[in-house]
Amino acid sequence: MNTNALTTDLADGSLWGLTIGEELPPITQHVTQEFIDRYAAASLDFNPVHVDPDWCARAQVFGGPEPVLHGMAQLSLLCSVVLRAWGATTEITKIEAKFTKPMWLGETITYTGMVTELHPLGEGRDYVVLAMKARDSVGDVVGVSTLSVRRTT
Amino acid sequence: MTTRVAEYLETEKQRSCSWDFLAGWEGYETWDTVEIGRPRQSAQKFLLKEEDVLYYNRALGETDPLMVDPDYARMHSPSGTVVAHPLILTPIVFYASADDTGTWARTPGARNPGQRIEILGPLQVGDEVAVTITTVDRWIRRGKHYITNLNEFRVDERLVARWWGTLIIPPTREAVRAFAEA
Repeated sequence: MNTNALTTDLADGSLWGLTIGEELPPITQHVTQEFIDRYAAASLDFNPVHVDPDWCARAQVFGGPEPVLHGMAQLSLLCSVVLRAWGATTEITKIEAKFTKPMWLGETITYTGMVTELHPLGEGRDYVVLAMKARDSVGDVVGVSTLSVRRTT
Repeated sequence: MTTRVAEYLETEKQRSCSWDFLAGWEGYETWDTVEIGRPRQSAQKFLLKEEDVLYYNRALGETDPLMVDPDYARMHSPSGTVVAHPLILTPIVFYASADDTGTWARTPGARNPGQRIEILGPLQVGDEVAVTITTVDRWIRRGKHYITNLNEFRVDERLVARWWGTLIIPPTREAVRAFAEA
């Protein structure tokens, strides 16, 4: 980005054409045992709380009898909201996440993101901050995260 | 592990890693015995292969050819290889913790309340990643027992990411046993 473009961005309160409050296209994902199993293999997180329904019914780690989706799958998909909107080479440099409610089998999770801060620091150093949310089928927030993002194009 | 999950194992690391999280828990440190501040170097480096990146991206449902089409990525990605999802760090830290003393979500009964991650540079296919794990804090809040592990990722001695992984774990070995033997 050249200096003129940055100036123009600052003049109209935008960065890279983005303004505060701008929302990214959401992602939805149905929580099935197949999706959980594939993510377990992808992440090498084979904790029985995700992949062993019989153990889950006995142990009830989260107070219920069924497996739950990995928190890191939620966080990955919240990052994917950004990657799908702005491109695969977009750099996510900082992530802070809280997981607030278990994601049970059968839920459909909706992942959203909104620009909350613009940081026009100069070429190669600009970044934006996004507030990300994951909600379950009844609209309850199951996780929130804050992402700092640099765009590479 | 059930044969159901075994059907999904495709990569070399998936087939070779220790996937039974209920085995070996007796040797894990527990909240009441964990040693704060001692760095533990992972026994094996994680060589990031194309198959690792492809599997992670596809499991999440990515469709961008830069992430899922090696031929397209060879022509168009900055590195000439498929672009890794930023949280490819997840299998790397689980691979590293397989030989550790029971950290992160390997402990039966552990829960993940939140994470903090800094990525200093994107990982690429071919990177050989070393992980150092240090338990940096433990605390009690609202009757729950937390620990935080700092996972530091290095490629050729260069720090590429830091991950403060917090989890809620059963506080004693007997409490872990109750979950492990459920």
